[in-house]
Order: sequence, then C-alpha cells, then structure tokens
Amino acid sequence: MRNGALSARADHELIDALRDERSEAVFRELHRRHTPRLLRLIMRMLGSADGDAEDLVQETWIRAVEKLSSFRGEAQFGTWLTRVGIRMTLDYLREGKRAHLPMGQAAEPMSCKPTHDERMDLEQVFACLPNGYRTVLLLHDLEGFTHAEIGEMLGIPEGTSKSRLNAARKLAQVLFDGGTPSEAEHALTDNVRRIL
Amino acid sequence: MKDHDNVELSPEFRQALDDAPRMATPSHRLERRMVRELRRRGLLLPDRWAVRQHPAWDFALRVAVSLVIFACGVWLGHSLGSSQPSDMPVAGNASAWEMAALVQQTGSNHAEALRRLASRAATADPAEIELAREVALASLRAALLQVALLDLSDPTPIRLLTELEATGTGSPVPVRAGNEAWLVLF
Repeated sequence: MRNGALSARADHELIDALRDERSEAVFRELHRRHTPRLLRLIMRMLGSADGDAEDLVQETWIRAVEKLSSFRGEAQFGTWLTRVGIRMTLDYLREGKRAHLPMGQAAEPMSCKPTHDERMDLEQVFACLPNGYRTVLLLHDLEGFTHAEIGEMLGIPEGTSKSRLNAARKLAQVLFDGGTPSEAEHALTDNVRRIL
Repeated sequence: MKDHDNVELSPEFRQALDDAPRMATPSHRLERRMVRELRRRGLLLPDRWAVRQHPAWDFALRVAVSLVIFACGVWLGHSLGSSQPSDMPVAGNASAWEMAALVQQTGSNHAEALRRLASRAATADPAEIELAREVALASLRAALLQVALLDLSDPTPIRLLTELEATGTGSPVPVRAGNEAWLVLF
C-alpha cells in the first residue's frame, strides 16, 4: 500500500492491514490520525504539558498494537485506543508520585499558578484540579464518556463518578471565575458535604 | 449520551470547554521512537515505503544522488568524447588529472541539465518526464558501472547497482566472490 493510498483508507481497513501485514506504513498512518487527540487527553490527565505524556502515548500504542487481536471493531478504533490510553495514564497516576485522590479527602496541594481576580485559563483550571476530579471532568465533559463507562474504566461505582463530576465542576467553576485554590477547596468541601 | 448531572457549569465555562482544543502536536521524535520500539518487539515489519523513510536509507539516498551527479558526468563525458574526439582528451593520451577535470566539467553540465529538467517536472507532460527519468536512470547505471570498475574494492557503487537491480530497472550487477569482484554483464 502506498502512502497516498493509505490516507484514503478507513480505520478498519488499516487495522486489518496492520494485523495481517504488520506494516510500518500503515502504523504511521494510524499514528498520524489518532495520536494528536490521544496526546492532548493524556497531557490534560497529567495536569500539564508533561514530557511524560509522550512516553505514555508510546506505551499506549505499544499496548494497543500488542492487543490488536482483541479489537473486534464494536467501537471506533479511536475510542478503543483512547480507553487504552486512559487506563495506562490512570495506572501511571496511581503508581507514580501523583497519587490518585480518593473521594472525600481534602484536595491535594495544587501546583497551579492562580491569577487572583482574573478568569483562569481553562488549561490552568485542569492543572489545578486534583487527579481524581480532573479525570472525571475530562472524560465526561470533554470526551463525552458516560458515568457507566467512566466507572468501568476507573473501577469505581457509577454513583461515585457522578459525585466526583459534581465536585469537579464546582471546584473548576470557582477557579475559572478567578477564585483562589483555597477558596476552591472551601467550595469543594461545602459541595462534598452537600452531595454526601 | 451523557447522564443527568446536578451541578451545572456557567455558560462561559461550558463555552470554554466546547472551544477547548482536542488535539496536540506530537514531536517528530515520538513517531520515530515508537516505530523503532515496535520493530524491536517484532510488532512491525519494514516495508518499502518505510525503508525509504529510515535515516540510514535517507543517508544512502543522499549518497546515491551525489554519485548520480558525479557518475552521470563520467558517462556524458564518455559520450561526448566519442562524438567529438577532436575537442576531448582521450584515455590514450590524456593524463588521469585531465580525465578527472573532464569528469568534473561534464558532471556539472549533466547535473545542471537534470536540475532544469526537475524544475519543469511539475508542469511537463508526465510521459515525457517518465522518458527523461528512464534516460537518467540509464545514465546512472552506466556511470555506476564505470565507477565500480574504477575501484572494485569499493562496495558503494556495487550496492547502488544492486539496489537498482532490485527495483526492477535491470542492470549489469557486479558480484563478489571471495576477495574479488566480478562484473556480470547481461
């Protein structure tokens, strides 16, 4: 398959070719199509434009190619790949120093740089959110996953996903409106008390 | 489909979420190192297109292009020498230095002709360009053959001739036997 022809092929055709031929050119085409979105999501999940994001993207692709035989085509390839990437990133966050924040605990110290009395940039808001809340907010409000899907990926009950989303939205809204992290934490505590 | 959620975001925040970019540009290094790792694990096999993107092959291609320019000059010089014997030094009475100068001169002319041809490739008749390309390849083969004969211990022209042969263009290919190199003429 020539490169020009590859760009016109549908994902499922490329997947078949990659599975059958282990073609490097086919992989490069899939990489070009799906890596930009995957990279952005992982960068946001990590809370920064961390260089680790590219390492995780690489690990995601390796895992995906290894497990390609398990891809049955029930979902879009991009969605399937995103799920693999999310699981890899969650494992990284759980095992690494960015410990996963359990619901109900105080927010972890925020490493973001607040701009007092000014509306905060959206990426800064994401960076300021604790991992557990940020992940649910990103997956639900940005990526469009349902609470059932998020619960399955994170290994938490669906209700917990909803609670975390509410808390994340409250916290994010305070930060977005120019509130300080301590004000956001206070709002989060009130919010958690109201929800639980 | 999203579930029902209790806490609503402000319209401004919702708009910011909707407008947030969904893509990030990965570094070029990422693709290269991924391919390398997948190949190392046997999950990818190199194919013709991919091989041509490999840095080592890219270097080989550059070397080949340089040799084309040089070797085509040899071939052109030889041709011109045959048709205009009074203007050109011939092997029988010319020094190696004179022949090298001739190669340099004709090589430059040949390279310039190819450059002009390439600059018109986008607008010229594809059939004519294909013909010109065939002629250029024939020149390349002839020149490579002479370069190989200059120094049979040099593997570069032999490797390039083998590559040309592998692409189906057909050429006399020097083969190695022990420490000696032989040219197989078809």
